[in-house]
Amino acid sequence: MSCLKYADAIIDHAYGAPLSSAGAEHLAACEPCRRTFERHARHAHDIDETVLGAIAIEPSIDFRRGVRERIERTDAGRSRTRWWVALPVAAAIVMAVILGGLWEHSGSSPRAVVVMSQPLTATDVAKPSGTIAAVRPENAPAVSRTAGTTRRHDRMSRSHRAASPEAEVLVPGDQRRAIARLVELIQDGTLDPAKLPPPDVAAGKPADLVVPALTIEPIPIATVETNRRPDGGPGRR
Amino acid sequence: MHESAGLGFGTLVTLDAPLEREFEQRVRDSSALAVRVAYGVLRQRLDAEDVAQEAFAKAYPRFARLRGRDEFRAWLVRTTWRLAIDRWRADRRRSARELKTSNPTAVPSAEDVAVGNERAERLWQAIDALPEKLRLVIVLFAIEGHDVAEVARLLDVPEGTVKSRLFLARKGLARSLQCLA
Repeated sequence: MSCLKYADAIIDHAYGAPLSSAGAEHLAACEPCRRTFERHARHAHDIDETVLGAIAIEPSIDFRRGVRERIERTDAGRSRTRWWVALPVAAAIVMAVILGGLWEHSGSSPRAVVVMSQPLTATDVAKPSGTIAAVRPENAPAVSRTAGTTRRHDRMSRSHRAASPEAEVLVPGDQRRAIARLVELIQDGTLDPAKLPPPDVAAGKPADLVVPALTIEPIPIATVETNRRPDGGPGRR
Repeated sequence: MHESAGLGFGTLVTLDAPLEREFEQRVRDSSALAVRVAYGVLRQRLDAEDVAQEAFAKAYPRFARLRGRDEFRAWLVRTTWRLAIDRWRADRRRSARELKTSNPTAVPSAEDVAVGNERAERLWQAIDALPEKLRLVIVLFAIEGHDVAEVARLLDVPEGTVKSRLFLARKGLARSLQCLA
């Protein structure tokens, strides 16, 4: 009865499983169970020895030289890799600088900076339909900033100012024709510039300047969502 | 500065001179361990040496962090085993592809014939049938002279875990060998 009770535990013990104290007592007292245990223990030992014999190989005498060569080859490969990684990164940076410069000067913005180095002609001017947005009379100070002008345009304006002493007008891009028409009227004497209201120098813009609506750039939705709490609260600071 | 009297490691990758000497010593001490671990998976001497060398080459730039003997050996065993498994899987896929396209009655190489014997073949079949964790334990147990504590250190697991896996591996092998007999 006891032998049947402990048979599996004793066999498992022969292969390395722990044996309870009761099982150990039975194993010590029972001769047949001890023989079973020893038979399985020998089998387990044979397995270990067979595995050991199967994998008991020694490295060849060239092993260490192979390690050294592998290290050198790996390092050389790493150097090459670094070079190949660095090249496209450098190319990408150069391309970004070039494209950024092109974009700056491409006139893709909704506003335009007109440097009046020469008087505008009205040869291509149709009848003006829009409102005159801004014009700088002859003796008026240069407009430093127009509402709605972005900082980038300000920078461009400053750079143009530094490069050219001519009069400078900041106008919305869609009102260039109206400006040209105004210049034409002044040139042919229809309009007396002296009768134009003086610019509001203190405010840094002409008194009757029709200020284009301030452009508010949309805030990316992702930014808003990130700062919003799930419960719709004010979000974290 | 980086010239060493022995292997001369570090002609391109640089380690300090004392580290060079330590690394050289580790290669000398642990090369059999790495080769046997790889051989336990690949069962091809050349492949096993190749994988073991690759593991040492990977260890070299990390050696400053693996200076301790136990840390180094544990890292080496894990890396070698992983590399060997990867190689074995790649070989198996390649063999499967080649079997589809090559002559199915191809004669085994002379090396295969020399190495292979019936008992070893049955044993390897049984070892291959074991789950990976049990395979590693039974192989390391044999390599390390049946030292459970050393296997536990190499695998960074408790000794009880090693004993348990060892028991399951032996039982699995015994069962498989009886079936194959």
